[in-house]
Amino acid sequence: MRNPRATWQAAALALTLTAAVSGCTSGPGPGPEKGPIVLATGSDLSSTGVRQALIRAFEKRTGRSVRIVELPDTADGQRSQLLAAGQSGSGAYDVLNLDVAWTAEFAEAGVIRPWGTSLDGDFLDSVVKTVDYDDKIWAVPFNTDAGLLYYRKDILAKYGHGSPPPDNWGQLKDLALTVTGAYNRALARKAEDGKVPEDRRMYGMVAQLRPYEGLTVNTLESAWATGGDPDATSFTKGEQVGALQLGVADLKDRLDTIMPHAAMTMDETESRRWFADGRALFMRNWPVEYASVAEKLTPGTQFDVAELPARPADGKRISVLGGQNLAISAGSKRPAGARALIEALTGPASERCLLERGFAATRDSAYRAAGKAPVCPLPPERGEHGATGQPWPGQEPPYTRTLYAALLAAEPRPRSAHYQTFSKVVQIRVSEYLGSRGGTAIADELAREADEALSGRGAQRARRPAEDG
Amino acid sequence: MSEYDARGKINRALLIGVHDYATLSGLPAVEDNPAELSRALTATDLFTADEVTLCRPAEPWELSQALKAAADEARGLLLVYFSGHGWVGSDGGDLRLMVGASVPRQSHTTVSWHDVVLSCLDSARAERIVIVLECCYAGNAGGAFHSHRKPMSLLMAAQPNRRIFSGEEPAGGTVFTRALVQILQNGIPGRRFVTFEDLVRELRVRLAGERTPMDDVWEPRSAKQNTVDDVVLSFATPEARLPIPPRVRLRRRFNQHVRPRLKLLLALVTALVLIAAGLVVRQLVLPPADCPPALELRLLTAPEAEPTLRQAAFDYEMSEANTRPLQGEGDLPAGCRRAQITVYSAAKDQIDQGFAAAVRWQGEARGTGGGAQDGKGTDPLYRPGPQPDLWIPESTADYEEARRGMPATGSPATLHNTGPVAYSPLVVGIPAGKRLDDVETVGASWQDLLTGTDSGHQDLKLLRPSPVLSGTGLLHTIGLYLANDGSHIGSSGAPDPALAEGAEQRLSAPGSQYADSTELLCSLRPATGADTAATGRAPAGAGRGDRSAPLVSEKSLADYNLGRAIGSCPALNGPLAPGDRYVAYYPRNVPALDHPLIRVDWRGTTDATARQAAVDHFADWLRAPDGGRPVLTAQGYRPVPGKDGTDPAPAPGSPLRSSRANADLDAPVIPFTAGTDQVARVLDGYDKAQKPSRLLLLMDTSTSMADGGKLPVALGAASRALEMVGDRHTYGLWTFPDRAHPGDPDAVRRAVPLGTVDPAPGKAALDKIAKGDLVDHGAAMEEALTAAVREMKKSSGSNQAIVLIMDEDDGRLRRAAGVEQRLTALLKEKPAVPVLTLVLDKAGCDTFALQGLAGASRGQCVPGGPQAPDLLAGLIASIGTAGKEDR
Repeated sequence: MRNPRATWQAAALALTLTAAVSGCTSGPGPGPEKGPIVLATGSDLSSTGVRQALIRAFEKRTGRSVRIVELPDTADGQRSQLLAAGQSGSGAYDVLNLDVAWTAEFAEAGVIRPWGTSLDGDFLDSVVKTVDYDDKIWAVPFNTDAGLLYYRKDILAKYGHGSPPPDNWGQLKDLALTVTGAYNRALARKAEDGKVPEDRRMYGMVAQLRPYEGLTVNTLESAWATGGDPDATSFTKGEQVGALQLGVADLKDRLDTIMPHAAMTMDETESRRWFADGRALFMRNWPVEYASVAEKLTPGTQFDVAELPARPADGKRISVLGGQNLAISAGSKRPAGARALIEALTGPASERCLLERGFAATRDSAYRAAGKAPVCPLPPERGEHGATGQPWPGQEPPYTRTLYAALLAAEPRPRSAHYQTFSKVVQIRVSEYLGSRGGTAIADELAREADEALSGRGAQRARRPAEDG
Repeated sequence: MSEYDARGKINRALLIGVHDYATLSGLPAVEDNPAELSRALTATDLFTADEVTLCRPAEPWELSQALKAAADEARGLLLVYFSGHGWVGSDGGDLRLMVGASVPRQSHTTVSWHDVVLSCLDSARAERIVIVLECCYAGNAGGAFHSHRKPMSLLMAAQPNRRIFSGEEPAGGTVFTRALVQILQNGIPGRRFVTFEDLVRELRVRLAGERTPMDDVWEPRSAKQNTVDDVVLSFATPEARLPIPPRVRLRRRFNQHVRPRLKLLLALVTALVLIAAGLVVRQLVLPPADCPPALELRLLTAPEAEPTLRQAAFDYEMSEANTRPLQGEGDLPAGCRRAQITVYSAAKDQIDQGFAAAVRWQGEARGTGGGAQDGKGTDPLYRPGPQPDLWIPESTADYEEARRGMPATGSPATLHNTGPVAYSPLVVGIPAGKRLDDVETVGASWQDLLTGTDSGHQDLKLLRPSPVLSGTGLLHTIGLYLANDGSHIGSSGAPDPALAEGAEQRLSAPGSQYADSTELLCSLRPATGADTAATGRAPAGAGRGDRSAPLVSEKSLADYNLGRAIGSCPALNGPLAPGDRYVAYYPRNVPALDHPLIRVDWRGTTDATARQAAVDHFADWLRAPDGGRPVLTAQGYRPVPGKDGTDPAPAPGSPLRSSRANADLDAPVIPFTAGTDQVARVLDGYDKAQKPSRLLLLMDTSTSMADGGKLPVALGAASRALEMVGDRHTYGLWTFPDRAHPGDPDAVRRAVPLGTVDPAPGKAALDKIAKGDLVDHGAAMEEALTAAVREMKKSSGSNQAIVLIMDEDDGRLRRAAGVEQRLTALLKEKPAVPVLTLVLDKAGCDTFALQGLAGASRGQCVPGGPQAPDLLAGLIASIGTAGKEDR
């Protein structure tokens, strides 16, 4: 992709960076706009942490104050409130911190305004897709995310399967069956009654299969791994139905063979807890859980991360892109200030800060080797203590190379104004399917319903029989 | 034998007569035959004039063409008559019909009976076929007479190998046909009509005296294929004629007037279909106009009702009701979804506070910052969350209470109660193995239930969701106070304080209350390895389910018994074992949860009209028998009465109908009738019945709290705890490690002294922590807790608790020997000071030390997560309940 770039570009970047750090950007400082810039965001941004620190640094540098409005604590609640308030014409927010999946809907609903200019080439191509809708740029990528495969390096090695981890999902399943079988047998031999207690049994894998957004993500990744086209706008056309069917069938097969039944109730935190407790050999999860796993398992020795397994056809390892974008609210009365704030929060130095503090940066430059990457201007975090402090001060986290590769191959979820309904359909149908005993094909129905959802229209059939009471 | 009556059907008669031959002798007698026969056939109701075709073929193709046309057109009876020369080969086979140009022995100039006539007729569409052959060798036709499937009758003028014409017969009709015509024209005496068999019989009689030109006896023959039935050939009769049956007239009218136009109609319809298809194809090729994002509706409800309403809202989104164009709403492209609904929930007290602080709610939502924070630090936009467009609380009592808390004027939110959408009666779950003696499951009063469960009887611990946090808890309290003796609750009347106190005495013990009824039931579920591992929660309910009697709703109790997902407990593989289930006891005259749908209008909303209409439309659908009602009843709710006022029973698929649900559908739904004042008085009585309580918040403020999003959860939980304090429920806030003595593990910082009433200093201290006032030193939890417990045990009051909010016990590595043992011993001393622990460390509650703490102090442990603040709040709410210590 865009690895090392031309020298002059790096120089230009360095210049920008210096400017940003020394507070001489050409962006509007304190100007005619009155009042603080209002940033609406989920709670994770409003207390401590690197994103908060970046906002405070902006305030200090520009003299403008930023008021953070704390939105509901669930992503669904944030979206609902921002969208409904926007539709009701009652939002006086300036900057909205939006989930990457919402861009199309918010743009179509007229809740956000186009960014107006193109983004500089430093932003990762895959990530830029999440702000690109209807041939316009609607926001600036703030932090991104890609799914990774966590694996128990120590146990795999002990049973004769050193790195690298399995290349595709089929191999992963076979390996998981072999290794967990041997592992649990050994455990049973040691146990007094010859039985492995449930809470010590090793499962092959855990993932996020509770009916929420995580299930949609895992379903899309599985469908993409069986040949699905991430850019397809319909699931009923061509090979998409087949890929979808294979994808959900593979997911169910993994659930039935190598995952615990409880995976159907797991979100990111629960699955990470299983893995960190030594109850799963593999885990699909975001890099943000790395530090939490590292509190219980030694990184690099006991566990490690890799890109998701490849699809056999072309070797692509496609993850769903996560993360958040910053957009200017359509009703903003301080658009210049909003723009300045967004530029500051998404600048090269800021993105490097985000990477160092555990987020996935959206800029290519942030992933350069130390010394060549921009320097995070924030003062070091308060001193670390114990093993639980911020693990990677002033340097990149150990998973950075893997994450970078995963991000280059990652793809956004369907970019539609009706994505939310699409996701609900996937959650309901796939959850029913995963919980069912038979293996009835659901792809035709799921694909049709998914298309209906994405079209913004209704179901073309009677959903359930009328009550006859 | 039945007779086929072809009247009114589409019949055809092809009457072929050849009298003029090029090479053969002419047959002048034949010339009049067709016309005569035609007259006879059309004289009665069988054939109309235009159904009869006369044919004098000169060439073979003329005959076959006419034959084909008749065969194609006839749907009822097809009659084919041939009168002319016939000719056979030397073997007597292959009868050939001779047309005008036919030359004997030149078969291509003739018409083959077998190859042309029969094969053509075999593919006719008529129901019945009758063939009459009047030619030389006509009798030979019988040999080759066959048909694959058509019912056919064949009348042959003479027996095989007979010639019947000499060519010298005079004009004016042949002998055979004259007889035929006469019979068809005049009928047969004693018969109402002339059938084929009648005709054959009668002809034989009439021709018995005739001789063929070869001087043989003239004997007509007949044959049939594929039928045993007879067929009517004429309705002529010398007797009185029967009236024409109406079905015949109808049939005829259709065939005469409609059918001729059918082609035109068909053409028109085809054209229309083609046009429509073209439009559809166009729609497919050119995608339909893009649908704009649907109107986003925010539906606030109680945690218990959230899963059901989520399902219902989704069904509505995709339903025809939401995509059918409405009158006057032509602004959406066809078929687009008009509304989408996001369902979320919050605890009752937070919803009340939100509506009370609606100014701030809207101020934050608009980003204008209007409405200052109140003393409790209410932030409605964060919790309960979005500004609702509609609110479905558990009962009308919740609505009354919220309205009571709102300012009389000036609120930007207006609540409109549109009435109930689903019911669930309130029940007391009694362990299946401990059914109450002499107490009916339906119809017993609360007094009976209280007696039956007391220590002198089944000795069960009554557990109730908090009346402050939960709608179920509030309504149960109303029932307990106002319908104690089983009498009907009027719209006035105050609870008897002694009664309230007595009831509260039974709803006992710190740690007994929960934020909502589903979490309460979840905590009682028998522990299985997979469950506790999945939720990361200590198996708090293990072993206490069979000693408890939860005060919940019928729906949630059914979910519990059936092993469905409940609260944060995932669904089980099937129903609980019979012994683990609860039996629903329905206290008499206690109102049911009625789930009123409240429309919330916000001032200054630019799309208010559309938004209100969208809410009303959804509300209508939710109650409709073909809309939301089956969705709600399939989840275990009782339906609302139909528009005619009838009380519908739950659908056959309702979980309530399962015998394993241990519910009783005979239990009536009691509507909510209490007035606003009564709700207030009940809550007042509840408050008075509680003893003063004391709470110590002990919070880990080491820097590790700043990582991984722990601090917001910790602060959220602490703020939530502060919302619960008040005049009679005091608190203190201590933090550890102490910045002044970071090296001393026993030191704690007393940020807010014990006994404080005003939540403001606590809120201020939390704000300071939020801004980063953390101590960069390991936090020694057990030492700090020991100090806190010592302080609390100085007081003899029974209603106190410590809320410990911690990350990780950093002190464990350097801990002096015996600290843990001393702490455990101290905790077990009286008075009890339950420790309610919120653990933000990744390990959650699954450590030996934390389990031990919870056990020794009769407290509980809650792992970090989005539900943690509410779970903790539920536990805190029960501290003040006037409980007996030994329970």
